[in-house]
Amino acid sequence: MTDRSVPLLSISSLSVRFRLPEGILTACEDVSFSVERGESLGIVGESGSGKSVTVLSIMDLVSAPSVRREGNLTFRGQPCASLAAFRGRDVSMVFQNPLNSLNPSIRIGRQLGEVLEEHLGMPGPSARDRVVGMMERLAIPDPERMLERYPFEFSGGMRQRVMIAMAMLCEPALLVADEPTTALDVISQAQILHLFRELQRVSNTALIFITHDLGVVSQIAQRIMVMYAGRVMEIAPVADIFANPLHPYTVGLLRSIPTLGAERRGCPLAAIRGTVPSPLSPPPGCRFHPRCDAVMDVCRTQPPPPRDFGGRVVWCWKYRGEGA
Amino acid sequence: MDILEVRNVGKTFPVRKNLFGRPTLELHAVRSVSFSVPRGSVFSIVGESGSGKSTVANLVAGVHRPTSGEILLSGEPLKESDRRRACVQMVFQDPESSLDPRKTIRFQIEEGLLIRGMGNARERSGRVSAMLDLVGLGRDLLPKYPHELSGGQKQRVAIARSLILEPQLLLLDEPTSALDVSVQAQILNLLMEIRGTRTLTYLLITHDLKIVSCFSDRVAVMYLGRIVESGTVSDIVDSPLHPYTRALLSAVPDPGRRMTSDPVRGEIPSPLDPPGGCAFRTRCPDASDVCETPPPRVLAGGREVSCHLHSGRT
Repeated sequence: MTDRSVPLLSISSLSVRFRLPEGILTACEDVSFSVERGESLGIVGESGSGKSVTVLSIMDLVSAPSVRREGNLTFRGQPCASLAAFRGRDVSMVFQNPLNSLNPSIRIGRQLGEVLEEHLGMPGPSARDRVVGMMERLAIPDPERMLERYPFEFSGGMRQRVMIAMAMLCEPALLVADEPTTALDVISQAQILHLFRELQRVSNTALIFITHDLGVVSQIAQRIMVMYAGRVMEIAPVADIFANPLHPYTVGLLRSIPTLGAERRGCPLAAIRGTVPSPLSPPPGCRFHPRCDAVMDVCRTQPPPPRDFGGRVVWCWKYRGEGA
Repeated sequence: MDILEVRNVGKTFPVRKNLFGRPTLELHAVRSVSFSVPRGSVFSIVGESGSGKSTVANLVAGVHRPTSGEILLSGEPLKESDRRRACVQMVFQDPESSLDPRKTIRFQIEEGLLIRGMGNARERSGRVSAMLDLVGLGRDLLPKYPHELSGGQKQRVAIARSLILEPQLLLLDEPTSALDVSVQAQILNLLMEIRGTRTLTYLLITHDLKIVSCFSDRVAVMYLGRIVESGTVSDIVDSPLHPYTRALLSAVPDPGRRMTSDPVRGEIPSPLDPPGGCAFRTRCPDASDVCETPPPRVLAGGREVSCHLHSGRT
């Protein structure tokens, strides 16, 4: 269990499909990645990229009868079907909208204390001390009084802090955050990102941070996984993604974001042409080929295999013959 | 001449009323806001939620009437009867809710002409086709319904719909916030391109300073119903004066730099009970006792800032 050489979480060849009246919807296909202890991995993609489904299915939170899941998963080196058994204590989650995750009719103090009682069997008074301590770490002002309040009395930023406090109470080995700052204003977002960084610095919690915003992920992740239309395009350390992106999709995505800099002010943005394909009928071969400027014949028919460049992996035919 | 002039405009909404319908609690959404927009330019209003930026857009569009002050369009005061005028049109954030799910794309683009009884069927159809070309959509979409279109296509339809009456002023309220990054760039480029082909003024309402920086000529920054600073885009983005503008800019997550600390402490106060004096003083790193008095409006070289720190500048 304490073997340091084994990644905390390892996923290989994960596919999730939904059977719908219109046909089979492939939400994600052949997704493989791993997360080390204490590491932060950012998953970036546009809507329909499969970034949320990938993680939700690992947590066993998509379990309709129409869902088919394939692939292998290991947690701390142990093969398991999903992380359901670890949820709450060893693995916890923070969602985009805290108002949907909190019970509106129960005081914050009880909702937080419940977590410790349920998972650690901690009695009321000591649970309360731990809750107050965690709220202080998350810069929630006047925690003793806040415990007596209801979720609606908090602002969006404060609610998200409460959610993060709840998720961190049991000091999980893995925290999964799905677009945790998307509903927030830019200043609250910066404050929450700062908190995530501080929490990571002092605890040994690994973080999977899902977002559509490349700017946000640059502030929080050590490694970035770029997804598009249900497939992984590229996984690389954060500095490499921004300084030297390999996949044409990553390159296009980076070029299309507006920047604060004065150099390109008033110039058109370098948009990626076309639109994201329907998940009901994804294009054959590389999913990005209909929008790619570097498209070759092979891209249209065969999905690209992973190319390993030592520490970074790219799924693109352009790098055939390179790497390992 | 300026196409739009907003003079000391204020707007209050009743939040709670007593038995006799008199307001007992009021929300001052906009307080004494003044700015003017030169014809043919892009003017941006940027701020967080609760800053009053969308209320300003709604006042200009005639959706709300100002409680105080006046709004001039091409020098003419805006009247109640102007609510249906064609020269100001709006594009909203979410095309999902601004388009009618039960009407075809053709009808939605054509609707403005139908309401005004303009042209015969052939002329209208020609105008619709011209609009489709302008926004880069194919004619095959005309008989379709909004649910058959992607988010980017829907926003293009919303733009075509707003432009068919040949407005002079287009209000863009967060036009790309609901879109994916790659589509956002396409829509922003389209808006820039359209402006090149006709005399059109944009009033852009957004929370995203990166879009403001790429896209506008002049910028006003709002906080709790007031404009705290305004100027050209390079004034505001490259050398901000107001501590709030600086905080906003430093909070923008930029791949080029790693944020090291909190940009600003605390949270935006309730607009129902804003601090007296300078509204930002409760969070301002440079606040002093003098900030409890209303800040002066300091004008310097075409820019304007409401802050005691800069009261010495002229």
